[in-house]
Amino acid sequence: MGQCYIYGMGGCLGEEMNQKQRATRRRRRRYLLLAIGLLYLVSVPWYRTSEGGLRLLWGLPDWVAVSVACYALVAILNAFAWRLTDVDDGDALPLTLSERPESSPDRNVP
Amino acid sequence: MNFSEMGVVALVVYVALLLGVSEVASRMRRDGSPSDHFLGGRELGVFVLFLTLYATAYSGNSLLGYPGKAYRTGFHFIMSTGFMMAIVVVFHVLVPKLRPAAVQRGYVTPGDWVRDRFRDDRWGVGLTRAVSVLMIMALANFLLASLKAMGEVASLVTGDLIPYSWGVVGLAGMILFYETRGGMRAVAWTDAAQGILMLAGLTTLLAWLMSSAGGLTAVTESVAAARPSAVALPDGQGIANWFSTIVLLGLASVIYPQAIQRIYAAKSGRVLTHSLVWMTFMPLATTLVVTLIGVAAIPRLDLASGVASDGVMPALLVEWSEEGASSRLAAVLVFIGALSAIMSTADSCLLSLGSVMARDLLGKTGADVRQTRLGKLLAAFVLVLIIPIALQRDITLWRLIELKMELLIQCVPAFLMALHWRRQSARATLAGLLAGTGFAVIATLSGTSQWGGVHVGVIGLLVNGCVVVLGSLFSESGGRHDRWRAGSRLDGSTGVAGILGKGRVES
Repeated sequence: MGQCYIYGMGGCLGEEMNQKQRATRRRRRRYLLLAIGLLYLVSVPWYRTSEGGLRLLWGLPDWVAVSVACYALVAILNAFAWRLTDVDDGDALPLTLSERPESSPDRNVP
Repeated sequence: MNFSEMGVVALVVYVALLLGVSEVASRMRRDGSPSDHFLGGRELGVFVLFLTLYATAYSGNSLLGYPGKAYRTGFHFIMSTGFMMAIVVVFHVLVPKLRPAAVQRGYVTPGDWVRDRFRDDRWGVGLTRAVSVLMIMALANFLLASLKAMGEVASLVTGDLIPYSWGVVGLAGMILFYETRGGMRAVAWTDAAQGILMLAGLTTLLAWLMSSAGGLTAVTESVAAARPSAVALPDGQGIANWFSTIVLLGLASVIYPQAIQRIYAAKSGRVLTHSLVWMTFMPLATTLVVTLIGVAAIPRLDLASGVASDGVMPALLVEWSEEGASSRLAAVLVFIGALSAIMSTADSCLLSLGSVMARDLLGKTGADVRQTRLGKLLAAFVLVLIIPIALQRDITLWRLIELKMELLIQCVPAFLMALHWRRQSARATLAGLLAGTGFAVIATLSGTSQWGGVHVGVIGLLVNGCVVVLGSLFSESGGRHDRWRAGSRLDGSTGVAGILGKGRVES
């Protein structure tokens, strides 16, 4: 827990803002993941019929071009989603041998 | 200098570089503990972590198996870009929960998580062992495929001056040497160099293919003329197979022990997420490129001539090398890039094999040098067992990938579900794993790899998941569940339950 520098009526304002920001990031990340799921559905041409012969788009069969476009969009959205992902290692630094807790899987520390 | 001589020189230079890197990595070693050896002291930065993740995920299968598959199936194999990207998407379910637990609880292997998560459940040890057996089988399978590919490439790049069998044995010995000397540091650093080589090689090859054919439109038109089915929309079974492959490879690949260990080995959570931002674009730079290479080979190589799936890429490179001295040099570099990609996967598998066998299967979870030594010995033992099998050349790489994935995907509930569902019990997870694996193995042995385009491994996972959910809901796990929540918390805040349920566990 960090030290509080700005206090408001409800307690620490800095922490409140931090929590709000985190909630917003989590919400945006969820929307991005939902959009990625939809793009995956569109990337597979289950909704297409094989009538009309070969049509090219960007030098590829059109159904292939749609899939590639979907996967390119997935890559972009997923990159944003990872930037919004908080992987919190906690306050603990990576464990060294001497700091390993008793109940961790490394139970046989000599 | 002809192609074979260039190949031998390039191979010698490459091997000398690997030896140099392993020597430096060996000198960077700190205490020789399992964490130091198998995870590089948990200090991989963004650049090395990204490239080692990349080089590990994209292997001999990607460079030799995938172009062959694209050559056989046509544009339909564009799905490979989707399933490789799905791995970085599915990591969203795994990384944010597993990474903090791994750092704070000192995990070294995937089994450390399973053991810790189900520590108060008497079925936890059995589940850890079952998961480790499946992982060992998948790793050994992966290692076998990589050894075979190494032998093929060494033989091709040197024009058989180095025969297949020498390539397998010599390069396997090389990997064992630098992995034993430098551990994860040597593996990650060589992976980084190998990743760069692979990327450069693929881009150059695609540029040559496209320019010599007159651009992408000309390639597609000539493919359509040579084999109309290669540009046609997939049928119902093909569509089902597309979805199924995304599920199979997307889910199973995140359970790769070597991928999980790289999650543990990152210097920080931020370093890990930054590496994954880069990783998400790599299917476009790699899988899409190898698919286009395989498709572009359709009008160039005659399917009726009996070219093997794994032989498509080498056949193209040999053709390229005949166009002049600069093309010859570029083709040799692509071959070395392919070899590096294969070796980077094999070394990661070998490193993980040792640690998983020692810690998860045999339960040697100590943190001293003896456990590291045991891991190294076990890895060497498995390698010696696998080499004679790798000397048989009659299995294609694609089938090996699928078999491995069908086993590995059965471990998904022990990780992806168990990280998010507190009620899940070890007994139900073990029962589900056995049911799913049994189903997939029996179906495969009876000659069925897919039903209506859906992989038997995916159907096995459905069976597995149902058993886990029903078994956990109807088991007497309430009390045990509470014990897990309370008992595994260290000083009331940093236990595995506290780490997973941050903000939801009462303090």
